[in-house]
Amino acid sequence: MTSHGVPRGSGIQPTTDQDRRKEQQKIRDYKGLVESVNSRVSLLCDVILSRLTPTSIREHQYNVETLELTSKLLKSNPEYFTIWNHRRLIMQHFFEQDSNQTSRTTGDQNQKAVVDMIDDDLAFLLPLLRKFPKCYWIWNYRLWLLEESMHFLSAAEARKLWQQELALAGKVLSLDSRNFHGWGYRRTVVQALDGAVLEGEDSSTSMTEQEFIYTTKMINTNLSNFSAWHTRSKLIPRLLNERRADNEARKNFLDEELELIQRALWAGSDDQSLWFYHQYLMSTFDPRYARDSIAPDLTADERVKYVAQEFDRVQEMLDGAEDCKWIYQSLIQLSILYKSLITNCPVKASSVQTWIDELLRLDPLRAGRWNDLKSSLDN
Amino acid sequence: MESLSDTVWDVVLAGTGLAQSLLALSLSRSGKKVLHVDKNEYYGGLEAALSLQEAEIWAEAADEGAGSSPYRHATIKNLEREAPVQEADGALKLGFSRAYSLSLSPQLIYTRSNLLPVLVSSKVYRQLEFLAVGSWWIYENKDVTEGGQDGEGDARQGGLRRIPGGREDVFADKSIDLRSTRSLMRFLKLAADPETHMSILEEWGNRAFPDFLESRLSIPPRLQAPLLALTSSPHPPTETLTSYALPRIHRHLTSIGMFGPGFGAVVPKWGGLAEIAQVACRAGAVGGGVYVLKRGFESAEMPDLQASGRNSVRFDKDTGLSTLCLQGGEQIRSHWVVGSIWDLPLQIDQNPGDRMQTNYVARSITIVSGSLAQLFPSPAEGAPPPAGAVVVYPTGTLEPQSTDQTPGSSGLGLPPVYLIIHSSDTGECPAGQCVIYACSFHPTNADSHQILQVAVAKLVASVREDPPATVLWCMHYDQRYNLPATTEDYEANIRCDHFMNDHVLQLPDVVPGMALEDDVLKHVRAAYRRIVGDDDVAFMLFDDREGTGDDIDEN
Repeated sequence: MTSHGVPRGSGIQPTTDQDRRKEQQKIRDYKGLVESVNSRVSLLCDVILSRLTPTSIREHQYNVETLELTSKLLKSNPEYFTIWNHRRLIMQHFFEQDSNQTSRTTGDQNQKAVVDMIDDDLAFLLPLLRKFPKCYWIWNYRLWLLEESMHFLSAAEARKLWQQELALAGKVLSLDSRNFHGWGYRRTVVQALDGAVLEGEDSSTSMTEQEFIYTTKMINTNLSNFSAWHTRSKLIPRLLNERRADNEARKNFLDEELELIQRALWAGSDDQSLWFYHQYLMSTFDPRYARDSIAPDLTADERVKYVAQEFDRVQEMLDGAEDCKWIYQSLIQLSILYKSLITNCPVKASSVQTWIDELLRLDPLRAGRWNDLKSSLDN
Repeated sequence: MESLSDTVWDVVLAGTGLAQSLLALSLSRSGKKVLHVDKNEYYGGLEAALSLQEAEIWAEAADEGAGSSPYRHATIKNLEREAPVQEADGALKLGFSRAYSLSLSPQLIYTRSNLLPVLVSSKVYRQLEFLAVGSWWIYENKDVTEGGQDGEGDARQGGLRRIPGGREDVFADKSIDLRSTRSLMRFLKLAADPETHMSILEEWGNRAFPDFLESRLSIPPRLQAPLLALTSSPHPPTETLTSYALPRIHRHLTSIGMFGPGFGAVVPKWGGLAEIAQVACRAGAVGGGVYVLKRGFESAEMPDLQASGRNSVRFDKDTGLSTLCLQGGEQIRSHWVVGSIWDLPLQIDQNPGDRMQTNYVARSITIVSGSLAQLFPSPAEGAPPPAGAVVVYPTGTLEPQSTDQTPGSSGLGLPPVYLIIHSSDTGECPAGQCVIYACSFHPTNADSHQILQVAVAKLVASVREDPPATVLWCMHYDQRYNLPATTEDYEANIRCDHFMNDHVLQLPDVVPGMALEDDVLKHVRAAYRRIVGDDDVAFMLFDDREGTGDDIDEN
């Protein structure tokens, strides 16, 4: 389900002769365009290889026309990633051209020229993103542009650009809150804005708190938002560090998150994204992952108490939802964890075997995996 | 110029209420000669929107014209005039008359209703603006054991609670315990999935809805009330059947999110259904229809209804034409005559026809100062700001003061009271004020209007506002309406036996209630088919007229 319930148009299949002829023409036009761009760029590559002088390059095909040809091609097929690379070469050439002119003109004018070029290119990408919000190459190219901007622009100018990107990410996510490209982009942008290069005037506040609230908002709008839960889990360690949370504060935070996920699970125990987040919270009690977790300094006793509490909570969920495979999976995982923490664990091996049997019943396509689990526990 | 009586009309439409106006719209491209008259001097008929002055005139006329209108016993209280506050300024006092557009039919339109796609396909949607109806609230009394109960009147304080419309709402309401959360979720999933309904209705259809919720899903009484509120049932819980409740909740839940997050219904701007009627009539006029206001039809005074009908509209077998008489004497000849029972030339007395079942509704319109912003929170991230809110007072939360207050009596038999509140964004009142429409299917007596007043007063008291909101003006009235006895036989419902003439069609009343029902359009379509013939494929499917249309570049 790549489209979150939104039906994908598979394109109209040509039925009449006229439609077929139209389609053939479209194919011919497209092929012509590809030919044109490729020949210009390969000529260019030959030129570079033969080390002609910069003036000669300018007389050849590294020009606005070629750029426009790539624009045309990419508008109809943004997935043709080689063309994006050609475009990068052209843009790089333009950037270098302008910086080579520093000897004759002032630095500011050059900056402006580069900014304008980047702005134009970013604007070119916007309608493409609207049409193809999940094309990797467009997002990659956009990031490339922004990173280039950091080389040529002042910190203040660059920061302005990145701020706009945050708004773009917000817009993409409001159109489709589960578009993981949008979420990934948002994380990258936030990281850049918080990074050393783009230090803002008020460098004491970071964006982590605000982003954490954003994930809460998105979760409240749609509980099944895997990306929102994932981003939340990525933000938490940083958040607690910035808050300089002590053990007490960390435990309170952990308790609140456990309450939150419990409510969510009761409202939708079939939801995989919720169980994933639950697993993330459980990793706090696993000594192997404790160091990077929410509360790294829990005592062994406290860990046992938490695991026991969670175990009871999940077991209660079973009452009335005996056909939910996630609950059994969680119980098994918690039992394994429980046993690793305390020698006389109250969970009986026979119960675990019963749960694995339930998994075999409910999820027979994964029988191999469950049987494997069974035998590994027998040892 | 040809007079009205010279023309042989194809269709004469009586009354510019919503149904007749939609029929005019449907005929606007047919090339048929349509004469559309209304006895009032305004459009909208029973669904009209009135300014303050128009409301006063309307209220006076409502009692006089018994038999030509279902409305009666209309009283207006202008509290501002009675007790003006010296320093009152701006939103705290009543604005001028035309600043108000009070709707006699403030129904919300579910996003899944059949009317909205038709407004789009007929291209009139461009002349309309719709606003979202956001939150539904339910009023809950605090526990009786908390405050004093003997003779202390309103010692019971209550409050408003938001009714969950989906999983995220249930999740966010921390007052619901975990098990009930799951039961509620189960119900919501079940209600949204129509394939399970058949088997449920077989077993539970004729039983009370609360029983179904309790026995089948273990939902406690406290959580039953919000679900019952969503059904907009005119009856108390014990009389609301599962067969009534389930499809309505299904409609409610599946409407949410259809046009955007956080809302499932809309209201038209500027005066509710009247605005749609006006736009439809305008389209009818552009299509060549002739509009005449302030003229109704004369009905023959005869001892029995059928004789009266037969003489008010005379049918000529040879030409197939019906002849009827406009007020003022002009004789109108037409192939078809369509109208509501209140606009056709007939004196409706207090004895309804055989096929009808008469009921009454107590209603009120109240203007309050204050924006009541608390009732209009943004329901979800990215949702449009709502301009409508629904507040339900379930059975047991209001008792009439005059009935016997025996300890323990909580008015269990009385129907719920429904309020729909419109903010000034609807254009129905000036900024900083709101209009509260209240309705209850009480047997109409003196108590029923007092109950509406109590409900409005409680609402105003429970909303935190600074300065406190006050009631500026209110109008109370009764509405009589007829439910066709057969519910889904639209062809049958539009027959009008009074005239002994099967070229006279009757469009049933728009049933008062929270939401506009799909039946209205279905009856219009049935009438259209009678007039146009069975080939109704082009019903409400129009191209843009030249000169109109979107000029938006596809890129």
